[in-house]
Amino acid sequence: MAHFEADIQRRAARAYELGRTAAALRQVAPVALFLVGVPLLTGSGSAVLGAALALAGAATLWRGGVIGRAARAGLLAGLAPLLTPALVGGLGHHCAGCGPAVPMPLCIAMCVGAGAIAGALLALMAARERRRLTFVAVALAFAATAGALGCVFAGAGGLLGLAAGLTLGSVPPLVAAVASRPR
Amino acid sequence: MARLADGDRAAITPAFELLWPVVSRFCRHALGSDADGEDAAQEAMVKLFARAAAFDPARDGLAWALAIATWECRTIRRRAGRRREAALDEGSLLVDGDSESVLAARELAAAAKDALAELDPRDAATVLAALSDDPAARPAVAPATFRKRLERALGRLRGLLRSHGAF
Repeated sequence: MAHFEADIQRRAARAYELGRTAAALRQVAPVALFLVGVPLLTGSGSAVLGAALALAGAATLWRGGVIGRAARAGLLAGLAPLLTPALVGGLGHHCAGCGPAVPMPLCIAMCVGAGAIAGALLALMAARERRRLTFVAVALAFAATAGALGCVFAGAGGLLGLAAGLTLGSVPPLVAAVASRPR
Repeated sequence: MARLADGDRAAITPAFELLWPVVSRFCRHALGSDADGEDAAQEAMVKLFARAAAFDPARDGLAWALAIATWECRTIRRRAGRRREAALDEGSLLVDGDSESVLAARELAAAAKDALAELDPRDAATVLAALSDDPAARPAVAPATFRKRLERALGRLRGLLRSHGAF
C-alpha cells in the first residue's frame, strides 16, 4: 500500500512540475511577444536578448516564490519603457534622431517617465512582500532589462534616462515602506 | 495549497499526505466501488497537483480538491456507462447475428424513445415506473388506480408508436 501511494505521489509531483511549466509559459508568452517584437520592429538587434529575458522570466515563474512574483512584476512593469519608442513613434517622433546635442529630447524624457512609473509600481508591490530587497532587486533587474530593449533606441541617453527613472520612482516608496515597517 | 501555488516544493509531501486519504475516501463513497474509487482518486490527485499553480489562495483548498475529485468521479461514471452500453450493443449483435433484425430492433427502440418523449409526462412516468424494478418508483396510489393509469398510458403510447410507423 505504501509503495502504491508513493507511486501516486511521484506521479502527482511530476504533474505539479509540468503544470508549473505550462503555467509559466502561458504567463510569459504575451510579454515575450513584446520582448522579441519591439526590438525587431525598431531594428535595435536585441531580439535575442528579449528572447533570453522571456526564457529567464519563464524559468523564475516556474521556480515560484518571491523571485517568481518579482520576475512577473518586473516583466509587466518593464513593458512601459519597452513600449516607449512605439508610443513616441505614434506621435510622429523618431527616437533615432534623439541625441545628447538636443536638451532632454522627447524619447529620453519618455524613458525617464516610464522608468519612474515602473519603479514606483515595483516599490509599492514590494511593500507587500516580506523579503522586500530580494523582490525589488529581481523585479528591477527584469524591468530594467525589458525597458532597455525599448529605450536603447534612444541611445545611451535613453538607457541613462531609464536608469534614472527607475531609481527616482522606486527609492521614495521603498524608503517610506521601510520607515513605516513595524519594529 | 497556497504554498504549492507559490512554488514551495516542500509542501508537496504534506499536501499529498493530507489530501490523499480524504480524496480517496470521497471517491470510493461517490462511486460505490473500491476499484473505480481508487482510479478516480489517483486521476484527481494528479490533476489537482497539475493545476496547483493556478490555485487561488483566497479559496478553500479542501473544497477545491473535492471539486476536482467530483469531476473525476463523474468522468469515471460516464466512462463506465459507455462501456456498459457498448457491451450491451455487442451482446445483442452476438445473440442475433442477423444485421437486418438488429437494425429493426434499433429502429423500434428509437421509435419507442421518440414516442415516450412525446407522451404526456405523467403517462411517461407511469410507464417508466411500471418498467422499473424498484417498488419505490411507483406513485403512492392504490394498485388498482395505478393499473388503470398504466392501461391508459400504454394505450396512448401504442397510438404514438403506430403514428411513428413502428407497428
